Amino acid sequence: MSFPPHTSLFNEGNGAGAQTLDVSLGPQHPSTHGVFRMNVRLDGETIVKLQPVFGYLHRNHEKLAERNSWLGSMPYTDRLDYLCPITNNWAYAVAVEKLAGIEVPERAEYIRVIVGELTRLQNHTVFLGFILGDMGGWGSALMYAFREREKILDLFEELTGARMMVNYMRFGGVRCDLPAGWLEKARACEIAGTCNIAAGKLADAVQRTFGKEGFDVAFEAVGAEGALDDAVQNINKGGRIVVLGVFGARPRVDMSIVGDRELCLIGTLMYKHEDYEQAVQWIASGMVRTEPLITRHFPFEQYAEAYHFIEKQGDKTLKVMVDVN
Amino acid sequence: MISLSPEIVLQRIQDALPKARVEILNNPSPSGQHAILVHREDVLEVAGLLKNDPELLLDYASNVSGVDYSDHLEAVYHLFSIAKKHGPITLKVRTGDRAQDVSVPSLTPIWKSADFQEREAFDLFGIRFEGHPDLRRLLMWEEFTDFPMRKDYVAPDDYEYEPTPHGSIVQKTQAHSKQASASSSTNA
Repeated sequence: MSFPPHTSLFNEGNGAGAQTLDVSLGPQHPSTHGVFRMNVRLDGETIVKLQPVFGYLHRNHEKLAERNSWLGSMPYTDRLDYLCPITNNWAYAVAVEKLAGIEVPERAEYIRVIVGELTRLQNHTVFLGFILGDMGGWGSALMYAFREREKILDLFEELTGARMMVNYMRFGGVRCDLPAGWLEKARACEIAGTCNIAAGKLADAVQRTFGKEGFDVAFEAVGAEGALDDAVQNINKGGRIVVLGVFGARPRVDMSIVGDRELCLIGTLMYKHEDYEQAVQWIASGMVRTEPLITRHFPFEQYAEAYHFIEKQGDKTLKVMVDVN
Repeated sequence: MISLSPEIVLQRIQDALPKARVEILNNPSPSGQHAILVHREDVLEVAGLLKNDPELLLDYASNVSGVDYSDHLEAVYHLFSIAKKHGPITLKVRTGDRAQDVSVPSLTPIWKSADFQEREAFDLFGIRFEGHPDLRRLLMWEEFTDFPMRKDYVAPDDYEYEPTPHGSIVQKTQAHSKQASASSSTNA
């Protein structure tokens, strides 16, 4: 099959009798995130060339800024990127501060970093939602992303009075201080429930977080008697406790509860022979890459140094290999 | 990001290309972000050096913008090294007389990321980037003839209704309402 020659969208023609087809996609197309056009050259369903054409919605903020006061341009920066208002505020504020030699007080710098990070988080969350939508995931991923973003937008609303068009930064700082209790809310933003068992009882936290439902799976990750015992005491009937921690002293666990409530303790540290074969197969086939887990290799002669290295590096070390030739 | 002083960069350029016309352009503002000004006839060679010199490796042009100084135009490049994690270095190139001689060499062949931004500087300031692979207007439409970011650009009088006019807008509104009533009476 051959297409008749037609006028190319690109500077050069696609040649008489070419097998490709030029299509102008957009500017009004739901997949283009705004008014944006793409001239594409298709070979079947494959795009072999793409030329973006923009400017259909050109606001020219720099031209608007010419007739505004310096501060009057601040709200425009909210609108440069509707997912990153605060960071755009920030960039503009820093530019003016640099020009004018304005110093920002330390507290304001901290606030800027906090709100900037929150902006980044909500931006990336929505990005994931959009990109999954674009890839054919329809709206579900986007709605989940928007739900998570709401938590941060609520914080912005409380802080600035606006959810998106925050107009928050000022030259030399921010418009207003954090309201009372705001930091605590920000801290708990993404986590539905936490419990510091040094300060409170796990049973209370479970009640607070899960209510009557309780919990069915627990991970013991510290290797402490108290943590394992807490899990055994509080888990639902028939629950499963995954033991990841490495215990120093032998922990005392109330086995009568384990028996009565039909709990299941699952060990994780060692493996069965079949697991070992499976692992070797996965590593050999390249399915699992182990190299990133290895912090450093040492030749056999330098085994003592390897131990010194582990001692010195502490928590920066993952695995240290002593190679035997 | 490690800061890189323009003096070091200038020294590297002068060592490698002794004939290049390069100087430090001091920024008198408190920011003190001094730039490197390169003569347009030497800029391609200098840019090639900045990108490929093993000490500098300025492999990334993050930003290109235009400036109108009323007698000449200027293209400003902000350069970083992703490999060396240093920057930014501000590179400036000036055109000749703004009325007649508005060309500078395009640096898109060296930094691909300059493509759209040089087109933008061409579109809004009228700087002609010679050697650019596709120097068309980027944001304004093809039929547009002026350069809207130039200092002497006069915006067209495309009147928009203002419900509560004030200041100079009042006069503009009155002028337009007079025109409107005049034209409606001729129509009648």
